Amino acid sequence: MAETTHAHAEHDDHDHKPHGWRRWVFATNHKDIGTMYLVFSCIMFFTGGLFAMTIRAELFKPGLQIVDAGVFNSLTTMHGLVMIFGAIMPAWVGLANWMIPIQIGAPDMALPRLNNLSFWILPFAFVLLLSSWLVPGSAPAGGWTMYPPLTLQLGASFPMLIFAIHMMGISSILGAINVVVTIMNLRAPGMTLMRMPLFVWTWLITAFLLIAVMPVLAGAVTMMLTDHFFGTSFFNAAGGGDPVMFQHIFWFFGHPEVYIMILPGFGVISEIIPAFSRKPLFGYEAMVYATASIAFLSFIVWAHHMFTVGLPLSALLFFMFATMLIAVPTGVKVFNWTATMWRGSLSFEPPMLFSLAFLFLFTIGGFSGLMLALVPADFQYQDTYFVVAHFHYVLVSGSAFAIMAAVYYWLPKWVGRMYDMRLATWHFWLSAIFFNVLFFPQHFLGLAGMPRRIPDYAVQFADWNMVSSIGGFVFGLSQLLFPYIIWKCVRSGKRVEGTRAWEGARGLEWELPSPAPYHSWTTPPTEAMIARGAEH
Amino acid sequence: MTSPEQSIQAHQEARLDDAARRKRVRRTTLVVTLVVLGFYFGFIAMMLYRALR
Repeated sequence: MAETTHAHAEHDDHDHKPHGWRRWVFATNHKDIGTMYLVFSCIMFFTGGLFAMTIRAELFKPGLQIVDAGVFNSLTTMHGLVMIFGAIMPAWVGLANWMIPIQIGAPDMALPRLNNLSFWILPFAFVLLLSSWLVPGSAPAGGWTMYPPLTLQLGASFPMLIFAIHMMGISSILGAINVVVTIMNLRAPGMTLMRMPLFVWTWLITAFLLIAVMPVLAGAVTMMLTDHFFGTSFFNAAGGGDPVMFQHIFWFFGHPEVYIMILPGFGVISEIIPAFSRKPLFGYEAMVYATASIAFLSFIVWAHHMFTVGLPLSALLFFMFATMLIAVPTGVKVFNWTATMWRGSLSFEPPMLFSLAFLFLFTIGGFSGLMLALVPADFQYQDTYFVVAHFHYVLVSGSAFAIMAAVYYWLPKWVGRMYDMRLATWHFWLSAIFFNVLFFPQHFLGLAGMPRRIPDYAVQFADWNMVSSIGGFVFGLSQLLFPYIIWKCVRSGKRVEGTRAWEGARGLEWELPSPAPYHSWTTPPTEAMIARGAEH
Repeated sequence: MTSPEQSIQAHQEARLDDAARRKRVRRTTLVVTLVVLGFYFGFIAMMLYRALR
């Protein structure tokens, strides 16, 4: 208690902040930059969601109703790009900005100006990408994976796509450098690596993944750019190049990218489940090593995305077994989360509800992933709606639900007010139920042979597509509750008393007053504070 | 693995010299940036080698 009072006294004196537009344009404060990332991510989430709603409206019944085939291809491509690079990744960087410094007892990120730059690159990248709808040939339509030769045949949107991807990549790399440098150099005295909260650990590992794979994506699209404009033939078969090589390079980036979007979610869940079970996390060290193992394995499984391109048998076997190996560390994690809840004093507030949904739904996505990892089975599932169902189970529950859980968990710390718990619970149940109505039937469609990325389909697929679209509309509309709940909380939420918004919450962020002061940990936390947070 | 006591001791020594701390931040940034550039140009070089052999 004495330390908490000390924290109040220390930080109330340092709450000066710039005002007006300069506060945001020239922001160097990690909390301001974190907020900008989260707002940007929210805008992109609804932009990508609008594309998804249009896709589901078109697929509501067989035949072409709303858009033509070209626009449909652009919609699926842009939905993927916007959701991955515009919604999920910036949301995690926003949460990292907000939470990492206050969780390790640092006053800010190590490189605040670089932090500003890495955020402000993003709006320009997405204005460029989204404005490609207006140019001749319309927006990119070759899929978010940008496979040549299809993508090389795009119109004026091609260089816009490549430049936008470069800018997003640079932004992510700068953000990752900042995270690594901050965690390696700015931890408070006594905050050893093995005392760090799991959100910080998972972000450190994620940052290394970003540093390793984003330059690979940048290299691949640079080579595609030179193929298009400078006569090279890296991926052009007519000139002696190899289009399949692009797939290898792309998925060397793409598979770790999946974990870039999920590992911070693992960290969030590892914070929330102990808090609402009122128990320390079961197997902290095992969780750290499991995360590192998943990250390592993510580098040696890329070709499971391309089993049908004609790989040698030895390669098929290697990538199949390596992929199945990922189930081991993932199983360790699911076991530890379950063991944390075992005989805990559980309560089911919105962050916990979203975490439990994450646990169930992500596991379903993991199981369908195992099915896809089997080479003979994958030959049947490849490019069907089964794959679409699988990766939405992984990414919507693994990333989007985890991001919502994180926002509902830390929002009272950010704004010093509690949100409307009843509305947030409604948000959860609508999301959880209609997420399943939306995506579960897609397993059946895929198993029955419906290909992905098509605007029209055989009549035999009509019923489940209609169910899926209804699920999609309600799921999409229910997400409007999310910004409304946050807006209402910021404006008129009930003030949070004391430092802890949740009885079972542990960690340095809960030693700070609520709302967290503009400048926090200008005096490092005491050993007692760190020890309280590191009870695992 | 560093113990909490060693970590506190190391910080107390480091705080005496803020310049050393800044130097450490710069060094980590430089190393990580070199890794990024290595991956970027490395992959392009690998592809060039494959194309030219």
